[in-house]
Amino acid sequence: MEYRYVITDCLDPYRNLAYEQLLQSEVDSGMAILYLWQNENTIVVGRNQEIGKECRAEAFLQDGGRIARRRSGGGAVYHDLGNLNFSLICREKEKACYPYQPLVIGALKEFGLEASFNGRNDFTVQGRKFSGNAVYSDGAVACRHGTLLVSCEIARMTRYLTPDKSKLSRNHVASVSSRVVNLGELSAAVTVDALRQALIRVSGATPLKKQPSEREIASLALFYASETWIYGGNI
Amino acid sequence: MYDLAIIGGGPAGYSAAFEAARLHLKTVLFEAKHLGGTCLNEGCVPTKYLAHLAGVCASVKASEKDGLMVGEVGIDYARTKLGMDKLVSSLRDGLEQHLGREAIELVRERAYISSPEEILAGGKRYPARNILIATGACAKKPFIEGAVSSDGLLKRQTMPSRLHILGGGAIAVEFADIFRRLGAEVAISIRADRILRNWDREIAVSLMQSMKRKGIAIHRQCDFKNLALEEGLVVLSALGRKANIEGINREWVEIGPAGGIITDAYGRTKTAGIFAAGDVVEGSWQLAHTGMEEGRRVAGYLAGILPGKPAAVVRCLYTDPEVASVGMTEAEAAAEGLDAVSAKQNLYANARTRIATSERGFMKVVADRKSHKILGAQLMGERAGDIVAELALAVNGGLSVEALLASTRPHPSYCEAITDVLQALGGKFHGI
Repeated sequence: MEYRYVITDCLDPYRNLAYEQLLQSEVDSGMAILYLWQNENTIVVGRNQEIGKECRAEAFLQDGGRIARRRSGGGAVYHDLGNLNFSLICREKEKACYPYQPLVIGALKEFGLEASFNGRNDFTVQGRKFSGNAVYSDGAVACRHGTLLVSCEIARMTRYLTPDKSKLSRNHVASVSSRVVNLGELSAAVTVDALRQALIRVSGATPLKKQPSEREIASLALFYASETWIYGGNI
Repeated sequence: MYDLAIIGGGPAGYSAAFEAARLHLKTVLFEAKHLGGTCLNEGCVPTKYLAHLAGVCASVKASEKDGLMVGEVGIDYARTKLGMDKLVSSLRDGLEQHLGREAIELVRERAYISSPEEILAGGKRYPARNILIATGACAKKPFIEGAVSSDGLLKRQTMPSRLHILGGGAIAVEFADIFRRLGAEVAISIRADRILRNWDREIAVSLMQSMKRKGIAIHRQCDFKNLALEEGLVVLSALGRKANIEGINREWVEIGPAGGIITDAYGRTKTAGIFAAGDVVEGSWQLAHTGMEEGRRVAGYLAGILPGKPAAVVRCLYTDPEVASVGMTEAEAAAEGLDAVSAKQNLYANARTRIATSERGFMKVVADRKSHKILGAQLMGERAGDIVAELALAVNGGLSVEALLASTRPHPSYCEAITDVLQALGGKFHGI
């Protein structure tokens, strides 16, 4: 049960999504790839969402933001440098051997925080959500990924993401900001760097050697950056 | 199969080896020439040995006015060279023994990377999951025939009575100052307008003045083409060093415009599993301590330990007076868009300095006007190379002027001058 980690300093959502997809070709039986990445100033919508319904797209783009669409389902998320994304990639059949919940929960324990997984897609601490997760698979390889809020600018998130009113009322919370929490608020020791290190430590991961080529990344990034996919991908 | 194969047994290479061993990575180190690299054999150690002697020499001569009675003060260079060689070989042996104790396999052969997972050396194959290139750098070929580079100068059995140095960087300046204090007639020729172009202007100018006062002739804006070699004149060509990349397959690494290997913050090259650290890296500071840190980072990365933000680099020159710097100058801070203030204090009021020397010295500290965090410091004076460590801690630890003032320094000490300059800086925050 081996984990291999990959870290980059790229902040471009299209390249990062391309890279994530290409990592699926690097996964063998008996290993899982832990990819840790960040996007700067980006909103990522789920596979089946309509951008207009999920965020104030024009205002966000005008404010220098980028909008991307991912292959997994679920809701729209806001990424800035206070957020850390993790992707756990392994063979579909071996998903049970590489659960991601213990990694996140184990990493947070290192900071003295008790996290729980709500059984669907969210991790919470003290009842507040700090991570949303989703999965996509091509049948042979599965990619489970999620966000981790460390020091995200939540006010900015609220400004641009339009929350699904039903979600709020279902959870009986008045606003997005009371529903989510930055881990950095709960423990000053949690920084993106520290959390990244904790995840690697808890998984015992060593660096992944074989990596996708620049040509492949650039070419697939063009797809993720294309308007047809971003705006029309839910068709 | 080895976890890590390291090519080069200098500071970057051996530091990576020790760290890798500590992290239980199976390691093999290849060194065909001498362990300890440039630093131990042809750089830091031998030059500081000479610098120490030069310092004692100069102090003795200067102390005649304080009542010290000495006859003729001279240098028996043959004995000096012997002492230097003994020290270097003793440190080298110690290093070899230390490597042995850590179970790091040492191969005394020239290593060739036959593939990203294999090294060929001495006719044997060494399969390795990861390879670290730490082959260092060497002096650029002397500009004119008959001139020597720094390693050639250090190999001499006799001291040059007349030394002409081409170049105005750290190596040139240190050699000029050291040999002048040892009693040689020294001249420096530089192409630019001032020495130490990569240093704070005030330090460079102050040091130049100090060198001139010692009798070192400094020729600026020279055209080296007209340099003539004379009998009895030793010419040192210290015009820069270039990375040792000969024999490294360009298919696997990207070479930058200055001839070094391009790496990212983790020491990774364009080929997965091949890393580089130390002087061989493009844009390297060419400092042993940064090479050591880079080597350790690569080992850490392989064991899943990610490096934090790189620490601000500290530099010093073992001239007399010493100079040291860490972090940003006020100009650099302003260029980054920071609202910075600085204060300068000369060392005239520092008792220890006055006892030790008649050389002028100063301390400059730069801080952020709003947060009061210390952004940088530039020092010239006795023990600058050691005193700078406290300020490096401040810069890297994000400490404020107030935090440092709340700490204590003994009296009478060289380092208490830090208190004076910080108080002056504190005054500036309030517009005084």
